[in-house]
Amino acid sequence: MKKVKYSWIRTIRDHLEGLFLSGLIEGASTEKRCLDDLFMVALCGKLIGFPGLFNYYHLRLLPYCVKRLGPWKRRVLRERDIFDHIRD
Amino acid sequence: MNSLWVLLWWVIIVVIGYWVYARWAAKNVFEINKDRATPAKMYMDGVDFMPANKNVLYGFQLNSIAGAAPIIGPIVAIQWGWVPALLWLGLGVFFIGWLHDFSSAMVSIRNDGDTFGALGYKLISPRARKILLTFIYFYLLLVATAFGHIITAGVSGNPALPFPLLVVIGVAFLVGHMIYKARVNIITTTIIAIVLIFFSIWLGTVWTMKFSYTTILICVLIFGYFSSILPVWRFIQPYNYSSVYVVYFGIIAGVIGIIIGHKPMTLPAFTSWSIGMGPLWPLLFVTIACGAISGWHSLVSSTATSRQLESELDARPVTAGAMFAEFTISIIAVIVCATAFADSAAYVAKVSNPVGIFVGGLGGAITSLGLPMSYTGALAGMMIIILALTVLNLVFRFMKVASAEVLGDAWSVAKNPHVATIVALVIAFVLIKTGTWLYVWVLFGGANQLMASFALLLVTLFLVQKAKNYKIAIYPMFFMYATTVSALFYTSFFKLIPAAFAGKKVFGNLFAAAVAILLIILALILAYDGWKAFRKFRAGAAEEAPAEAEKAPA
Repeated sequence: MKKVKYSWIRTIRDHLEGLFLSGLIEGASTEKRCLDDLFMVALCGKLIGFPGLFNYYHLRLLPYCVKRLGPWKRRVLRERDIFDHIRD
Repeated sequence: MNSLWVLLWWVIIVVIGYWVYARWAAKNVFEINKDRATPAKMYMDGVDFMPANKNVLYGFQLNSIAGAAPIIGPIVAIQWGWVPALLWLGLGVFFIGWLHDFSSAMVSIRNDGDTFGALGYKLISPRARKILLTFIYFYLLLVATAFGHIITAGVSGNPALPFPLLVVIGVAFLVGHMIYKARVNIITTTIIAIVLIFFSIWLGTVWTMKFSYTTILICVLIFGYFSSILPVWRFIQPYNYSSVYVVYFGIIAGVIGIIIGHKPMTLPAFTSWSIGMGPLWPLLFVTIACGAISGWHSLVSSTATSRQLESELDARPVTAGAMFAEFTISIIAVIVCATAFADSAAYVAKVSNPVGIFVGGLGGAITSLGLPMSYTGALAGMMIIILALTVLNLVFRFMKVASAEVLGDAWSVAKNPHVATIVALVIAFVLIKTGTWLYVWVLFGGANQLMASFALLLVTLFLVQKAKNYKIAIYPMFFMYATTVSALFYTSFFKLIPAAFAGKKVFGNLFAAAVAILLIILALILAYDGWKAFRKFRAGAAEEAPAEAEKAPA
């Protein structure tokens, strides 16, 4: 893998991004993930034990969701701990 | 002595601590390996587990750990003199602080990004998770009480602060609406927010407002209620985002002001081994919590940062680097406080209102840039109030979740977010109104440092289990455990209970003592379980332990 060379300006920019914007970015990602998970449960809930509600759409949309199935299953089936909410 | 000499102490600690000791420990004890896959890579899900650039992650870590405590702690601890405060800050961060943050992240990384609850369950005992949770609930109650008073005393004591504070809260709602609803460009939103906030700080110096302590306290708790109930995007995130500019402007201006002004340290270098609060050991070591070592950092390192590190090599710059940056903030706090007063009598008279001290200290330092004292004082006051409110935002939210988790099964009403939040607010209100702040601050510091010793216990067990040099963690753990339990014991039995029996703030002092005793009991149970686990791992039973083995290199 090609190693990216960082200039000091880029380093400072990244520091500032982490300092000021990471909270907003993380929050927006979490909101998006919640909606995405809801969509995936409705569409592919059968894969994690939910009764299938929309078989027709499930089959039609499955090819578009295949890439997301792995991370989604891992995320929703992961055992969660209350400490996961420490920064919520 | 000129304050610039203090910066020499800072340079020595940072250079040897970060570039020599931390590098040695990362390489030889934790055996960091750039080829070993991190949880962020193995379980990437786009949000929680997500490899991030180390520079971005460093900013994120610093933002998560740096609150008001690294400023307030040194301000209060200078009662023993600024030399003991500087020594503990430097030696604490050198031998314990960075190690605690770094090793918490490393243990989590080597255990698939597990949080402390899961790690306690696996490494200590099944009941450790519940004990940790109960401990954290009362720890957060002490945080809410300590910071609730700081905000209330600061705002009610300074007529320049209520107006800009109202504007900051209003701007938070505005920024949330502009970003998430109106979809306005982030740069435009940021410029509008910054202009409004800095203008309001100036306007506050002209348009002063005076409210009583109780009125401000009720307003602060209403603020806590809304920050706990409203969606994160509606208030907390925009608040943190828009207000952080004031904080970092204040820090940068303060550093420049200190260097330009290079005032002499006017407060005494050392006062006495024992002052009104108690003896130097153990109390100084818990009064200065963050800046030297803080248990909160281990929660951040193990729940968020460990899941975003792209490579194990990044763990040291991100976690230890952020810890040394927080140490820097504490050093600034020591300098601005020790140079702000002509004599210690003026300082001691104000010690129960640290915001007042900080306003004089940092405000005075920033005047070196040519700004008027009325404005710089208000700016410094807003900086510390904003930091304290940021902490309060998180505290009530997490107390709500924790009470639902602990009591929810037996008592379903505890799962109601409004009920859980109001219960937490009422307890905090009672403790703030009836307690003695200086002792509550010591209890908060004690609980915070005790949390750090639990984290070091987990690190020790992890190192023993993997047959690595655990002495690097066990000695700091013993020191922190003995110090914090002694501080909690001393404050409850030699200060709070006698004060209550003498008729001073009876309910609040007894309540605070009861919380301290509960924390001590929980600590003893955890120490007993930890000792059993330690013996089991050391006896070579590691392979029978339920903990998973390290992941093989990818």
